[in-house]
Amino acid sequence: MSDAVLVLLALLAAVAGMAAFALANETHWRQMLRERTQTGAARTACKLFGAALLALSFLLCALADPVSMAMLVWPMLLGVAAATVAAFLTLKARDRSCR
Amino acid sequence: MRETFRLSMAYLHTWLGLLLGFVLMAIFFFGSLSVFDREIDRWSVPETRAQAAPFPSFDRSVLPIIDSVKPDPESMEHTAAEVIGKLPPADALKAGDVGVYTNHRDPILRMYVAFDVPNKPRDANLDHVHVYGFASVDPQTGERLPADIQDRLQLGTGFFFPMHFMLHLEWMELGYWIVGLAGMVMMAALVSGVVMHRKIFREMFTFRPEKARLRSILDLHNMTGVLALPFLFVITLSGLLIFAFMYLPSPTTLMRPLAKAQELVEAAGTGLPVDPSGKPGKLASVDAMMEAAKARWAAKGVPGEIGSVAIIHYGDADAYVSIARDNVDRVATSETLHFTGSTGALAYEDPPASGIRTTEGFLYGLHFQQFRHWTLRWLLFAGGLAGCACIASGFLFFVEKRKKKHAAIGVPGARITEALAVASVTGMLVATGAMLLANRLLPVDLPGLAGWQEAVFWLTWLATLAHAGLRSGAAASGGFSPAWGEQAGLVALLAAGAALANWVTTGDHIIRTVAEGYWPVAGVDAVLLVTAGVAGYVALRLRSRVRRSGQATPAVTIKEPAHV
Repeated sequence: MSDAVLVLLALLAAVAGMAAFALANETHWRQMLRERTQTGAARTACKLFGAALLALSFLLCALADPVSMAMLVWPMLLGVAAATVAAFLTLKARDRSCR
Repeated sequence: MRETFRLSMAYLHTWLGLLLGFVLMAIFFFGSLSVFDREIDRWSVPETRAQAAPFPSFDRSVLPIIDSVKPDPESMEHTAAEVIGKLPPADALKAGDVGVYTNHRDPILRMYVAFDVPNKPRDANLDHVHVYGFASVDPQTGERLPADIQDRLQLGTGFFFPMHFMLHLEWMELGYWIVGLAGMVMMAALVSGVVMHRKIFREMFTFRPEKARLRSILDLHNMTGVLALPFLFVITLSGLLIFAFMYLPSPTTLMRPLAKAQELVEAAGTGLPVDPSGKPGKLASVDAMMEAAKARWAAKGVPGEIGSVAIIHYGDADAYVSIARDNVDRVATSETLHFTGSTGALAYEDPPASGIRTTEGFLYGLHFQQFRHWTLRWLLFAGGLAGCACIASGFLFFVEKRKKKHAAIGVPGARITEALAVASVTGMLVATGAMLLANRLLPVDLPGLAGWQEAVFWLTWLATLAHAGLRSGAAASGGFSPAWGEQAGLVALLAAGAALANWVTTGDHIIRTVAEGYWPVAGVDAVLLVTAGVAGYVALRLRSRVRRSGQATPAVTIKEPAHV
């Protein structure tokens, strides 16, 4: 698999991981899944799932590049991923308030 | 106790951030541009728009040039002030060391010659005083570049990069010290920002643009700060470390005898002569040494293009040649190979770096970014801009929070701060755009071309400050300064104008450069056009906001978020 594809997959894993972390937050959970109440177990599951996805993202970075380079690429991807999730949540909130 | 601590951190964050934020804005912005310094060089000196090429033959292209390199008049002047007595005339100076370097992004081979100076330094701690001369070689042809192209101001490495680390304030090295102080303040602001931000993780994904202005500005400030926090922290720390020798000079001043002894012990271990023998000597083929170095790297399985070649004690019987590779595959620089000049035999290879050296090399490397990784390069560029967004939103929050109060009691604080913020955010972009435009429109045979471009930059920046000050009347009555939108409009015009001027003066429009795959120029033009689009959109939005606020003052009272 080419390095570019691996980095892209790493970004997708990071976005999914950050989304899981966002869901672990009660406000965002309510925003996304209105009808379902958030249980403690669900919150823990979201956090664990998020952490696993972020770890997967690092692994993919380390497969694409030497580890020293991956140590720079990964945190930068995390920033982009978190900004993507935040932008999605912002647009979602705006969408809802417009309706 | 906890609340007192948080409040004191908030106080520190607010006031130190405000005081040095204006400098930090410039450091982060020009640092972001410096990520693409070589590409901006190509854009600003069209004669050098060529694909990067590997190191040419040293024996045929570089050696014959060395003796024709003359001491640079500016360097003569600089060194004359550092030494006791009068310097010998330029023609009488003898070359001591020679350095030649390039990298995978640079189509020019850059070269310096360090001329030995017989005079004693005024400051005993300066023990390697030289006069420098410079030359550039086209690696495609192996020919020396004509003086008018070599000396043309390359905006990336020649102006934006030094602006990033010393603000072009050379007097008493003041620029370096201000940048260092700003770096320390940035570290303090990051730590105090984390302490005072109560819901750092809970609100990590929260941006509420529809809420009251203060709330949404604070969301933006927190979000850009938190999401880019690892980058902002490490890039600031590594920047400070690069100039630590200047800020903490005791190892070379107070502990000078120890440092000297250490240098000799290390040299004894390597077998490389510290001082020249004083006897003239011949140099074996440097091309053969470069081949030997490449063979060694190939055997290790690492990419092996030559990055730099340095001849130490040039022309002396004890000369040696240090060869390092272009580190495209790693963050830190790698080990150098040293060859005996007279025989061409490998004399010494730097040992694998220790833990401390590896850490240091990684921190330096992540700041200098000489690796080949375009995704990472763009991510670091974006990280720098996130830093700018964080600082700019910090200014906005400071101003918006105090504006109405200051207007009510007739204090000009918020008004002055807003004018300074306008000049340091949009004004800086206007000045940069004007400089790029001047670079394309001023005739290349204009005497003092570099000075004219620099004058355009500084005078435009000053003019934006004057404009921001003159238009700050609205802020005095608690309103929104129209200068933001007006300058954003100017940014859009200048950025689009610079891309257009590049097309008109060189024929390289973006469709052509993209079709030809000449990314250095295509990339700069693309960023200019995106900037023009975003700035134009912002200008229109702000104009309608100013119009609205002119028609009616909102009757709602804004609930202030808990923040200082």
